[in-house]
Amino acid sequence: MSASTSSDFSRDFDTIVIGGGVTGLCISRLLAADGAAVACLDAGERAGSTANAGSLHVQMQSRLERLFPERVADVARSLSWYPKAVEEWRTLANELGDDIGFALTGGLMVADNDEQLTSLSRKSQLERANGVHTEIIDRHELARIAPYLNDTLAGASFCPLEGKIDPLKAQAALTAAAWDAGVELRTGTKVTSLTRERSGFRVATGTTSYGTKRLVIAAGAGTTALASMLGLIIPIRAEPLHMNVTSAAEPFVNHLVQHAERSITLKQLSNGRLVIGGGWPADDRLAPIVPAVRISSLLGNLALARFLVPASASLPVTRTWAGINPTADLLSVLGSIPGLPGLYIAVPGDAGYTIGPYCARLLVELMGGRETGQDLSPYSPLRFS
Amino acid sequence: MKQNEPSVAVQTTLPRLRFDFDGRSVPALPSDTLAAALTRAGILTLRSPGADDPGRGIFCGMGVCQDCLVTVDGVPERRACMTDVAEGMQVESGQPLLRPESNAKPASPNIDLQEPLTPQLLVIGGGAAGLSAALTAARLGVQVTLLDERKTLGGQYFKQARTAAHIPPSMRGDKQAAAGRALIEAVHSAGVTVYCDALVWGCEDGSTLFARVAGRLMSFRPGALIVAGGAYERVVPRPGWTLPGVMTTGAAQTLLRTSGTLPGKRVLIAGNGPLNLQVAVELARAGAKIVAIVEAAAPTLITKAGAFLRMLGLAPDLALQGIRLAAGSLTHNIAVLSGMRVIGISTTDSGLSVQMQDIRNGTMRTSDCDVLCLSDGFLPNNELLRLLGCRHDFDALRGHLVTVRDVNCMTSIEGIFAIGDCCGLNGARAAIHEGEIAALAALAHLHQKHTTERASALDLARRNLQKVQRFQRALWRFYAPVAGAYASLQSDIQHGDETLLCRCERITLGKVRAACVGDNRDLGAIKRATRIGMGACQGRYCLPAAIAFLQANHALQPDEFTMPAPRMPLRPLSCNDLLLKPTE
Repeated sequence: MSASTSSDFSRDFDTIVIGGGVTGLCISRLLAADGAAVACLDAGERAGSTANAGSLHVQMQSRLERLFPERVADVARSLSWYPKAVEEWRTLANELGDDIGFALTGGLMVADNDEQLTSLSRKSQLERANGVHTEIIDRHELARIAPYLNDTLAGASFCPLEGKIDPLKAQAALTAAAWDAGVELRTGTKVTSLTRERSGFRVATGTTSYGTKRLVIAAGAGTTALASMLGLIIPIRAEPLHMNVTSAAEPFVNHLVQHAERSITLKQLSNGRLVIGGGWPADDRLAPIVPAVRISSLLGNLALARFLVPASASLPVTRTWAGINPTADLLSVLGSIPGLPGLYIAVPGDAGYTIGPYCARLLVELMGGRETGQDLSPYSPLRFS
Repeated sequence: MKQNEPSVAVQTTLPRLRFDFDGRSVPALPSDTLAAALTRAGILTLRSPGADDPGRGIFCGMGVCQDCLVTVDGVPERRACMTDVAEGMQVESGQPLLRPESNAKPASPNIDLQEPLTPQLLVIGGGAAGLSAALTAARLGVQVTLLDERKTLGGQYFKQARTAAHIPPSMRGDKQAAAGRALIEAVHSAGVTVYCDALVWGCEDGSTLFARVAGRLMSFRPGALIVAGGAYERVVPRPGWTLPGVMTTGAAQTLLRTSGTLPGKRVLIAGNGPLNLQVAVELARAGAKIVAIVEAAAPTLITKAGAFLRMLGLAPDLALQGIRLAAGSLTHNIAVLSGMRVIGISTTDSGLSVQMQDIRNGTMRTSDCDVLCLSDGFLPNNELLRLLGCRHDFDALRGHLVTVRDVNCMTSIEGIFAIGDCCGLNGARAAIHEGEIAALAALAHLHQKHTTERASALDLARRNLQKVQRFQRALWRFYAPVAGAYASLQSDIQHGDETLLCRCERITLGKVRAACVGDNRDLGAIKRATRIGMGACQGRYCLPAAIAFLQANHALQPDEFTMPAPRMPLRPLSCNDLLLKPTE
């Protein structure tokens, strides 16, 4: 699946998808299953789905209210996508056959005190108004369903549809499924230029170029540079985030755990390891190859995990790493470009790993001229120009 | 549970304390490591990584492999080789899934990091190189702090007995240990601040280092840094290499030299290089039966004579030491099977059955033993240097990354020096001279005025180093293996697909082969697809082997970035381990 050989020179495809993460792979697989000749190219950078922590998020992230209060109304309107996205993952888990660690355990966003619990109640009302079921549970109910949590917590917002995926297994299974569907997968293939042609696009990758009728850019934070090759302004920031993983333990944490005010996600994968992340910053200044871990994030994230789940502190941390979270204005960037027929953009919004497969489904329906059942205008790639 | 006849080289002192291992009361000497006490009691199996695995025991003996993890007083994943016994200690064998302990009081969700200590010079690693650097700098008036992961300084060459009672009779008066003891005493009297039990697990901004020192979090931001992390043994994956009773030659030597313990009664030693001969003689003198030494180098002395004469000219004392060892092997009737390698290990009712093969003509041979010691050369402990961001080159000949250094042993980062075997194996003597060079150069970095005296000291050290390096080159020519270290993995013939490549995650060669879809040869992608190298040891054994496999079978051309980046913490540490402050 590595760099192409010269025999591929000037090979043409119906569709080329740039980006081999969760979104690009799902798009490629669906298109190929419809009979199209599809190539999926990935620069093979070490970021992407393979660095994801694998949380399935449905309730609104508390940090949005904290950091971007002006965006809350818009994000709330897109909340209805998240339950559908979880269903899409359930379908995928069944179709892929392999065990990808899919589990809907429910998610808890916990509060230290009554003030935080009140703000969770407000959030819950907004969520229910937008089609997401969450409920507030008090400290007694919390202690009953999650005895592994610190018993001083005041309560939580509970969302039954939340859960987890094992991202390494999912990536491997999706890759294999795309391969089986006939997708030409090329990793380690960096696109160097994109040009408009009479009936489509030309995609150059240094030594090789491909012609294609349709072009999908699903390259996360790489989308900005690729889109600019076609004169489009799509500002996606690469936000380096910290993650930790522990040795494997007996099952003891069954929910996806988050906090009402502080940055954390904590869950136990099906292999027994705790994955602790949730938005602590990493550094992209010093390391040219991968974002570098910050000690303050490593220790701070773990100290918070210890506060919420005291027994987590006895488990050895075997590895920490930083992944890239592509982020625009928290909403997905999804759709076609008037004036550039055949070009499509697909970058999922907040909690992109969760909604990546659903965004892929919507885009493929749009490409096929089918009814998506969604008003996609708020997600137009042209909204930044 | 596999058990051996108790093997005790120390007969002098009666056991003075007891601890429990899986409910069984085990005697121990004060200051024994768990590894030594359990080995002496004949207990070889310390951990079960899964129901379908025959178990694991002591392997590297030096804190690298993470295979001897046991639960100590309820705390999971303590390394038996690095943990001291205590009266009444409750030790349980390691299990595939840990039992999370919830004894913690609700701690604060916040951290309050203390300001780092700021020694003029920080030296990491208290082996030959680090001791030499610390001593040289401290004698010139520099304020030096020295950190070592072990509880005793000396490193792998100057291995020091835990207490006088741990010195086996056959090792009394040993010159190697005595030289180390003298160097350590000199370091202390020169006023070096020494922290033992100090595990450096991370760094930030290439300038601040984080360590767990005797259970507490400490950080250092030194004026200059010298990294002397040493080396660990290369062991080529073979069928059965994870079985209890299979350990590195260095681990067997550590058991003997630091704890007066034989690894077993009947010992087979295999691999490549002079350490195997040395340890065979040491074990034989202490009472072990050496079944044989299996050596991958060619048997004919004629081709080696030139190399030996060169060694004799460059360092007559070391060459003569080699002759004495060879003579020792004759005295103890040790058979040296040259040009052979171990290709398979299995268990029998009484121990291990080891299958060997002549590398050139394929003739097979089988021997029984209690313990198999393996050492196929050495790999550098350079993960801290890589984490700091120092540049490395992939050395195709040695099959590992080599730290890029200038003539002063300075890395690509100003003020960070790397010395000794963590830069590629050159032996203790070279390490000592590199310590001198780096210390003198670090002085210049610390803006101390250069005197003519120091300039001539630097000059002398450089000349001495060159001479030792020429000796080392001759030594490795003498020990040049008939085929490359990983030849058995490269040819695809010797090892079946069931050979475990990754000990930690239990990933077979077959699984790695299957992950090489199409012409995929990116080690990072294969790592994520198979989990090879994602376990507790961070791929220290499997990744060099995987690179050799991909080189031979998938035209991989390794470079600086082929090896996945080292991850913090450099050794597995729990949040409890990481966050305990000096004041708590």
